[in-house]
Amino acid sequence: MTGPAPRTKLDDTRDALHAALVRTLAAAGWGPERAHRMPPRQPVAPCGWVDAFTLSQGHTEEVPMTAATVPVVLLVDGASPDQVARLDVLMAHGWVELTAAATKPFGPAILTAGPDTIDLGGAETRAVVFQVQVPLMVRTLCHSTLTPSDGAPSPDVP
Amino acid sequence: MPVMEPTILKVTDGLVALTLVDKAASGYSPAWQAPGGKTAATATLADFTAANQQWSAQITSGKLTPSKQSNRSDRPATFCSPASSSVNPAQSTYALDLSFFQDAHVRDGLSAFLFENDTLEAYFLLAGNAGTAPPRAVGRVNLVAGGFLGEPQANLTDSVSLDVIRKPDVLFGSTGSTRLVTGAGTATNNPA
Repeated sequence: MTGPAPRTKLDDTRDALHAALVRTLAAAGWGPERAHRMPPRQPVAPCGWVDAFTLSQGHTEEVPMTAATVPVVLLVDGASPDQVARLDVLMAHGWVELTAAATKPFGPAILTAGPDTIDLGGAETRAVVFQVQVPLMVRTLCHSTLTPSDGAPSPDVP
Repeated sequence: MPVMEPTILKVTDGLVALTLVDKAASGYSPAWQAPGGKTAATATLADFTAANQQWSAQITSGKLTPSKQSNRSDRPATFCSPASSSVNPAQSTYALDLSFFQDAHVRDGLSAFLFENDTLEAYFLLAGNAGTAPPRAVGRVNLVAGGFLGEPQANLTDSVSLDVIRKPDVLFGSTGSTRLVTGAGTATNNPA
């Protein structure tokens, strides 16, 4: 039997985006139970989730960085005119809330946001998907990693 | 001929420390390169931490940049000899070039330190290995203020080039096998 896995920067990022997802769904009148921290096995519309990360290297303000890009999905029942009518609300509030998500130390950037369809095995769905990019590490004099096991910056060396 | 692998230096855990020159310090000499007259081999982080003035995670680049000062004397061609040029050597000058994330939202951050102490003289420690192991350099710089704010919705960065007042001390090598080259020109292997 193993204990809980140590938290990583991806866990922290997922938590922050999930919190933004909860606020977005609330703006459309839906409860926090419809916001999933991980992709649900059997999504039931309306709902939303933070999908799997893709890591990449790039630059922010000319500083080399490692960034995570993740789809944040907001799903509605395409057969429900009431739910479809709230797509604009989800798009607008999703943009605001995800942009303001409390990822640390760097804030997220939304690369794209647009309509999509999610295959649920026959059910008619409509979705808006945000591609959110979050810088996780930048290359500084302080050694930094995605995991807490080593290289954690000394708290007294800013 | 055997294949040789290059020796690569990569900074993974570096540090920059600054502390103002205290000319009222006991035994002070203008020749001091670090607090207490210590060298690149003997200066400790504690010598620079009185006001928590060391930075690592903020610094995206820290480099001691030399500038050559030599110039050339040109002699024109004559009827019997071609033109020529000779070099007049001069000691290089140095700058401590720092690039960093602005931290004006931190009360005792680097941005505040540079702004508050603009024009003042400070000792510096530049280290490539957590500040405690070689390679490392110490010396004296004139502080200049950094930029303040900038574009909205951006991770604000800035850079400063601090003039090094005299040739710094540098400790080359690695732990247990070092060579201290002082700005005064002495070189010592494995200094105490």
